[in-house]
Amino acid sequence: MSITTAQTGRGGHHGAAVKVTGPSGLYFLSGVNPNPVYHSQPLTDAQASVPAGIRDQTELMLSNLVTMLKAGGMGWSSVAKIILYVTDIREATAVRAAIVDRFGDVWQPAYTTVQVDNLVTRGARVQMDVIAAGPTA
Amino acid sequence: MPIAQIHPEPARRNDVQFPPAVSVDSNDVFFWMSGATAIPLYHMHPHIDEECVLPDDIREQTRRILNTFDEVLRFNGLGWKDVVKFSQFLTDMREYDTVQEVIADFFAGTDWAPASTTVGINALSAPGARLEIDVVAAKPAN
Repeated sequence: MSITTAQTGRGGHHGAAVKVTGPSGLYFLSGVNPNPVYHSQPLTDAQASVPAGIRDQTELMLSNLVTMLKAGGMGWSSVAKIILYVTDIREATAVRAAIVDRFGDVWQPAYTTVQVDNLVTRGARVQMDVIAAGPTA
Repeated sequence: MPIAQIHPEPARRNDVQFPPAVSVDSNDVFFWMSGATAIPLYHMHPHIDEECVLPDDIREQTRRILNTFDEVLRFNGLGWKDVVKFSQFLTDMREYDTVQEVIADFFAGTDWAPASTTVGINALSAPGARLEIDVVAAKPAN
């Protein structure tokens, strides 16, 4: 299995595209957000509560991401693709900065970033959809 | 092809309606493209104004996006027939039909169309961008 930055006609470009060559295990994560990975349905008030700031929300989300990746024996460099959903597009820069602060900038997954009206829990400002590639089961 | 639910805490499996993740084993080669708006493939981060001046015309924006993907696909030995999934993010859903016409032009002659999901969203990362598309492509292992 290999996961690499896909090349383009103009050389390597971090983040333009990511190539995964099998045999690999492809991991489709449920939406990663600042709320606890294990929660009741519907969420209790405590589970639904998130801090106000984008930075704090992002840190919680990234901790959940690490927890989920570890379950598949993976880490940040296993992440192939992120669709980032933010409720304020101006905060996307802060999210990316928090990601670099935690994981460094050596590995860059492919990104799509969009602004949406609402996320599931009240006050949530960020969520990510993640596809990762690791060893086969 | 093994497909499995992934649980960081297997004992809590029944606490949640949906598993945190699902894994699929594959022998093939997958390409996940970053979402593209009509701004150039190579651009500065954070975005600078000069690179984000876009035509208002949705047809032209769609063409520029698909030309970006065409370059990445070709360089990796892929074509439009290797595309398995489109995600389309529109800032104005009334432009949906026009966008599909331009996409159909790029797939002309391939006898192929990918799976596609389209959602209306509030804003994209480049000012003036009306459309973002992201693409997943696949090919058999050599």
